[in-house]
Amino acid sequence: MHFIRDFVHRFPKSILIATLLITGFLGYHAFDITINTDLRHMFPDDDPAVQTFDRISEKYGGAEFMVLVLGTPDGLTVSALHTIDSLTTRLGEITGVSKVRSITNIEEIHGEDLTVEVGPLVPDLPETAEQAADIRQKISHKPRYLGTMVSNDFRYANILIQMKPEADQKQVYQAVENIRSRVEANGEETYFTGSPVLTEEIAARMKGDIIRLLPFVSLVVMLILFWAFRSVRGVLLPLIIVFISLIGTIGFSGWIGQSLSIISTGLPILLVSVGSAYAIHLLARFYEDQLHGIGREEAVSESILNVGIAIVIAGITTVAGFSSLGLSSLSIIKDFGLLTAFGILVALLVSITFLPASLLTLRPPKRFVSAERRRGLDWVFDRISTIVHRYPWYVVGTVLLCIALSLWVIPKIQPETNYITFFPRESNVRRAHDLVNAEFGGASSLEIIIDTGEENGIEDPAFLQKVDSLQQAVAGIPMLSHPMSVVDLLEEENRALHGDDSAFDRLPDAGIAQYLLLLESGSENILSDFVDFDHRELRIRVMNGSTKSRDTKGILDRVHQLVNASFGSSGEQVTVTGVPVLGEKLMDLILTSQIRSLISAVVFAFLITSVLLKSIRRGAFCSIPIAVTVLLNFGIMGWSAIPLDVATSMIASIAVGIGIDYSIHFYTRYREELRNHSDIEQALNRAIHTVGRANSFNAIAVTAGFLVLLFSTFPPLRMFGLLSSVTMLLSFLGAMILLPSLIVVFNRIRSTHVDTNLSS
Amino acid sequence: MYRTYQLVLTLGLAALLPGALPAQDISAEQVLDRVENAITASSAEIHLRMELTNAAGSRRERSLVAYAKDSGDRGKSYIRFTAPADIEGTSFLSLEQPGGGEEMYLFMPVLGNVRKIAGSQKSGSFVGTDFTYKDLTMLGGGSYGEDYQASILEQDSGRYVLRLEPINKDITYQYAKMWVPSSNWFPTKVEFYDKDGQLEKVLTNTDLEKIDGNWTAREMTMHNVQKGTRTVLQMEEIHYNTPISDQIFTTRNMRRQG
Repeated sequence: MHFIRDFVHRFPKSILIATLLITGFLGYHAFDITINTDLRHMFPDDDPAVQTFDRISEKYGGAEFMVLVLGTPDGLTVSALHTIDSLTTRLGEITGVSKVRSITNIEEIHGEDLTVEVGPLVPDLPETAEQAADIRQKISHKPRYLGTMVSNDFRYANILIQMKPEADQKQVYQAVENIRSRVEANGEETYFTGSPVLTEEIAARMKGDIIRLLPFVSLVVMLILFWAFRSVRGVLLPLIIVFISLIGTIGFSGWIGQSLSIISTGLPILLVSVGSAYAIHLLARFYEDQLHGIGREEAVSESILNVGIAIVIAGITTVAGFSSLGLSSLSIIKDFGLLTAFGILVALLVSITFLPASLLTLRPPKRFVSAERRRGLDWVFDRISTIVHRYPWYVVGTVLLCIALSLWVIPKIQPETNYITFFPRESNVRRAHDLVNAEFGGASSLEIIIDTGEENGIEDPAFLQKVDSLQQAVAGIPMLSHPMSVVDLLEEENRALHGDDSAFDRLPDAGIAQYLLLLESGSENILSDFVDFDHRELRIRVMNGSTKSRDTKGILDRVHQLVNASFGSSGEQVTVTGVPVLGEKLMDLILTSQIRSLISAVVFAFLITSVLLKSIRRGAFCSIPIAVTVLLNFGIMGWSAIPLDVATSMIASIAVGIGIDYSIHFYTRYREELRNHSDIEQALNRAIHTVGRANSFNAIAVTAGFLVLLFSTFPPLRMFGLLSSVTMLLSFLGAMILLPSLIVVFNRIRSTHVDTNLSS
Repeated sequence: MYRTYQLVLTLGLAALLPGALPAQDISAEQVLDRVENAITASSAEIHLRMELTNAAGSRRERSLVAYAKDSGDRGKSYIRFTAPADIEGTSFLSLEQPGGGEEMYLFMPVLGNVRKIAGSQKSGSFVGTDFTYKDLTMLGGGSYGEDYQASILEQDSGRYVLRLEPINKDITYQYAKMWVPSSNWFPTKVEFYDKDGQLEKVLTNTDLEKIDGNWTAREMTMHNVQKGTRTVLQMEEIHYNTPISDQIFTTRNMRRQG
């Protein structure tokens, strides 16, 4: 710390200029930043679930869909069919779209007398109402299209947009959205959904809300800072630190080409709380020392030496806490953790160099309101002191009770990876989703791939019969519907080849290879969606209405059971993949990564504080309050049924990172006071009244800042704001009440112990 | 989706040799006429092997025999699979109609019966290959003049490069490019450009050989550059102008041979 002090005193202006230059450079690169919302981006690159998904997508032309539904309130009229067809054509021209399927371009196998035809269901668009009626008549006899391409009552038409595996999801989404909004401007009723649409909407809403709310967050923080310091620099310096670290972090990401993930959009809010904390503590000490008659230069030195060390310990612990997220197997959480760790490191460096350098360069302050007597705050601190000294056991007891209550509900916390729950019921996204679930059985598909292990293996009629039974069984599972495979194509062909006789609407008994020859022919190879080139494996596509993660798990378990019952003992190899499978995998990863990162964050905090404070006992004192905070956070989630999702799973880690600051500041001040007043209770009292101020300024500013998120239009962001606020208050109380109570209790036990020893 | 409609071109299985004319200033239409005239043998019987390769490099093989006959202005063709065993006997028959257009029939041994195939089939892929029905059913000869308008893109002493613009609205190509050497008027390469003007398929004719006095490509490769797939036809046995009975080109024969 002496080095930093000397450095700051020697080159204050150079530090200021260098900081601003670096910030300017990184600020320029901040414009390069991109946000990636791809579901697969959340997984590690080599994750087997993603690799399987990609392999299947690659082979069968993409397993991720966007779904555009056109409302056709008058049924499939001439104009409705023309609109569907023009949409189909325009959507198909978008780069990154592999295929577009709608009622106007879908291929069918049609038979009449001794003629058979493989071709478009609608070869020519109708010009008259009679022709349109003919088409409706034709569709109503084809179970393959009802409830998949057209709703049963003909009031909605489905357009499935299949994306190429390597497509830029955002670009495709934008292009589709442009087309959709133009159609809607013409008075058409449209609904747009699908898992890529959901993630894009989430990113857009998150980004929009954060950009909209960040000025208000800043304003609230500024008001509280003004109340705390009553000086311009007291308001501006903490915010400048926040913005330098924010620009630095986002700019650095842009510079090295790292894209932000959907949760990294919460980064600004985080840096507001952590970055301002460092500045507040340093400023509060600076004013406190000056009030006691110490000169400006010396006050800066003292602040660096006394508070600076606490800031460094707190900073390193927080950086370690977030770096521990780097151990997560989930890419998004890993990236978020490392990025935030970097941001905090910047905030830390700027706080102990740029901030004191500015204080040295600026004119000396005239007022020191932050350190002067304040009736309200001091009354609160008096009460805290009283509680700590009189009832430390009650404090510890209450906390133990809360921990017990939390532990009881923690197993009941529900993980949730279904993004649809993020959207309000009345939102367009939710309405589109509900409609597609109700009319078309869902916007995502479960893919069951059965590999027979030998060329032409799927041509065995007995094998196909088993596939058929599996399909029927799978369709019986709630939320799964419309299974589709080569079996359905063969049934349709069989019927067509027998003069449209419904008695032949079944699998052919023999000669499958000959049937497949015809299916492979035609302007579009409909077979290639369902059978591989070697006729070795086939694909069953089942539509999946999206559900809560818990239900998805149950559904997948049943699918696996059925698959094993049919193919478990024979030589076939079955793979089940699709967006729901990735979602379920994501849920597992969130849980394991959550547990792992939390344990390591607490352990890190304990180890680092133990090393830096040169004692395991001290390390324990500093880390117990945050461990408690984390437990209580989960307790609150359990009791209020808040699901554990990608956003809320971050809060515990944030609590560790930020919460420890309060404890470390309190503890280092307590130790400093202990050197001057050997009496423990008096030292605690002093610490509560001095560092308590900075802690409460910080806690109030950050809690109020997080509460601004309650004005978000986006439920997960509101939940995040609320939980973070509560967590901030809990960590503050943990540091200010629990920590001193623990010290008192510990010392009383020890002295009793010593007394007993002495008397014996 | 994109059709090679009517582009037999290359399946100039019955290339009459018009003789090595000097590459003088002739019009694009004249070049096209000479290419067309080169494919007017009265009949052909070809035994060929068909090798399909997908983008990943997997292969499938089929063998078939094709008969083509030109009786007056009505072309007839009959294609029958001979291997592998599970599709042996499956056959296609195509008969040109007097008023233009043609009729197509399919025979599947498992059905034991003949089915007529309705129109839109013919311009699509032939049994999953990169060739279309048209390509293979017009073995007896075809006419580009009806479907394409030609212009000369390049010419030098030995060859012409033609640009073929479809005038038949059923053809979804934007245009095709054809390389024709003036030595034998047998196209060596044709490139097909899709409706966006992107190269979609390339046909190359190799192992040119004179059989029964006709220039013939022993090997023809259609490469779909967009999908990465490839179909190679290898002519194993070719007989030109041998008498082929009209009885071959009947649905009764399909059933009998299946």
